[in-house]
Amino acid sequence: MTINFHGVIKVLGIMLMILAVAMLLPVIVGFYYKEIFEIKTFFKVIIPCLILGVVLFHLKNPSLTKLKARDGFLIVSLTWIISSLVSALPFVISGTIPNYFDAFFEMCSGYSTTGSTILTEIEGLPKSMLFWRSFTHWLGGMGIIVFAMIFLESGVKGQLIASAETPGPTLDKLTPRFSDTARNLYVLYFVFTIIEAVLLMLGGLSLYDALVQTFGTVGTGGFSNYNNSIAHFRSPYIHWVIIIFMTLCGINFNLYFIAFKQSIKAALEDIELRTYLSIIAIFSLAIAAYILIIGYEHSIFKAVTDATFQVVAVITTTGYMTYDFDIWPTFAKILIFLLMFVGASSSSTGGGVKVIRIVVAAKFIKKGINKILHPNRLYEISIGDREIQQETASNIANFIFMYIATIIVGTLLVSLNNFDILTSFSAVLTCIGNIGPGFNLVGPTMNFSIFSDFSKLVLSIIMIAGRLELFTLFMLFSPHYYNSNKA
Amino acid sequence: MNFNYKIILKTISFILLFEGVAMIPSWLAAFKYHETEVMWPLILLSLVSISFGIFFFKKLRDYNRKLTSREGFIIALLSWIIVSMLGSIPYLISIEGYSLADCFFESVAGWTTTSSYVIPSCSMTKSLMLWKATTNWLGGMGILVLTISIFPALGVGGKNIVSSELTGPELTKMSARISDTAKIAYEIYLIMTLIELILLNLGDMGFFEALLNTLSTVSTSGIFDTRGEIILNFSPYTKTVITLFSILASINFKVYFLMYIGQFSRAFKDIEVKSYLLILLICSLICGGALWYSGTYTNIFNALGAATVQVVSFGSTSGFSVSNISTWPTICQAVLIFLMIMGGCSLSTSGSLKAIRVMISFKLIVRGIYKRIHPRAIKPVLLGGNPVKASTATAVTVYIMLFFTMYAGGILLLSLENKDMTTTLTAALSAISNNGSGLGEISDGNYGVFSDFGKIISAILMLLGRLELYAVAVLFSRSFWKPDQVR
Repeated sequence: MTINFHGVIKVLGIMLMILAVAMLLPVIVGFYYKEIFEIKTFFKVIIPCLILGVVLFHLKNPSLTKLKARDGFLIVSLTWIISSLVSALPFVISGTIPNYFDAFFEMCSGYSTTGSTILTEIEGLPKSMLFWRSFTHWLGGMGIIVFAMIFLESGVKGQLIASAETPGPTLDKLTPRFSDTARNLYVLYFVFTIIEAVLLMLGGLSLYDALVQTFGTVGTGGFSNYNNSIAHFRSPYIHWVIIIFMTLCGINFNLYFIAFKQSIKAALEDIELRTYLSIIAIFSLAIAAYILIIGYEHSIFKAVTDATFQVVAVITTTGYMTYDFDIWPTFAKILIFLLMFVGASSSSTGGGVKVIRIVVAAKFIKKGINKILHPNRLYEISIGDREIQQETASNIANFIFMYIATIIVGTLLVSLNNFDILTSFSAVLTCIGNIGPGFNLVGPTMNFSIFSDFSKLVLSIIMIAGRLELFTLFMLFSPHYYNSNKA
Repeated sequence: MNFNYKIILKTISFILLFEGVAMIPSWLAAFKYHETEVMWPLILLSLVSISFGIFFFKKLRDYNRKLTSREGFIIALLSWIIVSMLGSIPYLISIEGYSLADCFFESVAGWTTTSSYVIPSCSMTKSLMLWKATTNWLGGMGILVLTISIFPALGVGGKNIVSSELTGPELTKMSARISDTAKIAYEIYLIMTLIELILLNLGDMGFFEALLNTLSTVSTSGIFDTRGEIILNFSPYTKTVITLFSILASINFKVYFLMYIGQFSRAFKDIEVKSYLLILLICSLICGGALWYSGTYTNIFNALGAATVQVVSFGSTSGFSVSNISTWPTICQAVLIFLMIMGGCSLSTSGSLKAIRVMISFKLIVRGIYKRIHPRAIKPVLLGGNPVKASTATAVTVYIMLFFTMYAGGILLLSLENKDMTTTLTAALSAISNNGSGLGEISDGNYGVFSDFGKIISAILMLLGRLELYAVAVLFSRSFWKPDQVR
């Protein structure tokens, strides 16, 4: 029982073809803005990519239908890594980002929808390049794999691969065939994209600006084509549109279908959704109230807008900024810091630990305390009206430990770069949670250019690991993975 | 809310008696060093305490009822609070210019064996210094009492975690009752104290200074630099002795039990101790290397020496510093913070998570990866060849989550003091792990930078850490207050 490498390669072939086609979009942008040099650069990557993709796809082999879960993990990991590697090429070749480590970091940040950037000066760069950079958020948001599954209906165990992407509480099966579910989710994703872009244009943005910002919102990424992120746009209308769409994309997408098929009330009963919305409400109000009370901010509307924007940006792991939270009083900063450990809802485009895991962990703790007092009583943890298996609860606990362990190891490695401990730590924290901004030297107004190539590489890996929920990537380092005969 | 008030009162009376007696060395020192203004008040306080203690104890002497676990928790919590409150009075008596919160903080730091301070020891009278050292020493003993006798009876910690070999047949061979085990622990503690006292006296310290330092290092409380800092400005010999005894006090006392009953070979095989010492070694090498490489110490031996002392200080949660660690390379700071979180071995005078929990969680993570690959495999977690029970693994998981949850609460409250992030984060961590020093504004352990509110929050965190969290956590459980209502 080894890895079905032929099947893996075939799927990678599809992925490369999709990537090549995706790159045509920035080419169109390039034509519009007359960036001939950049267009040529893109074709230098598109053509080999397309050829290679077609070649790999046609590697004749009938064992394609037997992709197992194990293959799925490899496919997902390789897809993220290879997409980032290939997508970095246009930047390097065109000289927009000459250092390959930088470009790789930027692309990892794109596909993992983190939004951390090594660019110190964004606004002067070619528009097609910036468009491609933001488009990777959109692609990464829904997972390139799920993308591929729509076109590959025959026999591939698509569901197993996707569950590699979001393990933990399972995706409820909404339709009999997985590819139908995937298609529905994509329609929703498209709908959000179009509506937000339209709303932003109604607010005065150009189509280009609207699309860039929309990609970053809907993929919960955080890249902008302006140096000071969303703060560039002064209008509160724009801020609130983005707040709303960040929130929407941080919700479990399955709930939208439940709302559609059953009722909105049924969807609102989901405990993850309620926790998610409550956290947003409480934290936003807490920060807003605090900065008003201590006189830091005088306008109630601005306080609420800024607080809500930053809170939503961090919890959904988008990472956009309208106000530099690093200059807020410590109380507000600590609230933001704590949010970095929560993350968005499961089965959304956001990253982080995920709200449902926090909910289960809290119940786990409560059960633990009660057990001390009543050792002989039986307790079970339930979510809604379903009981959580011991297995699931311990998987969640394992995940949280793995998360902490990765942060610790990552911090140790990045601290070799000898920046202050808060910078090192928050850089790792923001990357594993796919958020974007950290504190101090990697704060919302700063960038990651200060780091060495080694640190950037470490952070790039951490970003992908975080996006793939850790185990998917780390499993590849276990000898058990490749040789199942080794017990 | 029906508690057995008489039992609680009986406990309090015992505390009054006990603490009154503990004050005797201090007023003897006041007598010896001619500190007449404080001597009489101290004598008065001591006698009052003893009298009240005896009075109430005698009245309730015949009242003997078995404790429920709820009452046990209340007693554990109340004892430490009352001990700390009573213990703050000598500070109030002896020194001008410090508030009630300051004295309470100092008292709590003493009893919880945390090295943080607000009153520098150079401004203390000798009798007060001895009082602080006494509280340190007794605090260390108190921890042993808690972990050996009280927590197992309440169903928490210690006994469940330590692999069962000792708490089974061997113990009954040695001693018929748990209280006898505690007595052996005190004997060992006393012997350790005496040996260190003798060794320190052989160095270049005066008797009094040697006494102060012995009392505080054998309880992993820090050192007594009568210049008022916690920076180790002693001779190399003295530093070596202190480092050695910090290690000895922070390893699992089970090792000493085994040696006591003559089982030397098993004593040296204890897995927790071996791992703990190995971790200390690796951390020392990393830090030493970094210190030398960065030029902080030009001589490699000095670098390794300084690193070792610092690593031991943080690993044992003693909290003294060899120099200002804020100036050290970031990798060293990261390693030290990791050690702060890990702490010493279980069943020692150290605090924090404890090495065995860190070991178990590490193994759980590795098993988690394995189980992702082979979801149906049955793979127990082994510790030193013995399987860890599922209930133990769960207990460890809950404890770690609870630790970080309470830490999160701590940093949120402490953030209201508006210090910078690094200070806030490390101050709370240092308190809850009973270490004492951190980074930022509290690198020298001086919590005087906080207002009274911050000092009280820190004091609460110190108590939390010392009581291994549960004693406070149970207060949040509804079934604690209303045991008759089944939830």
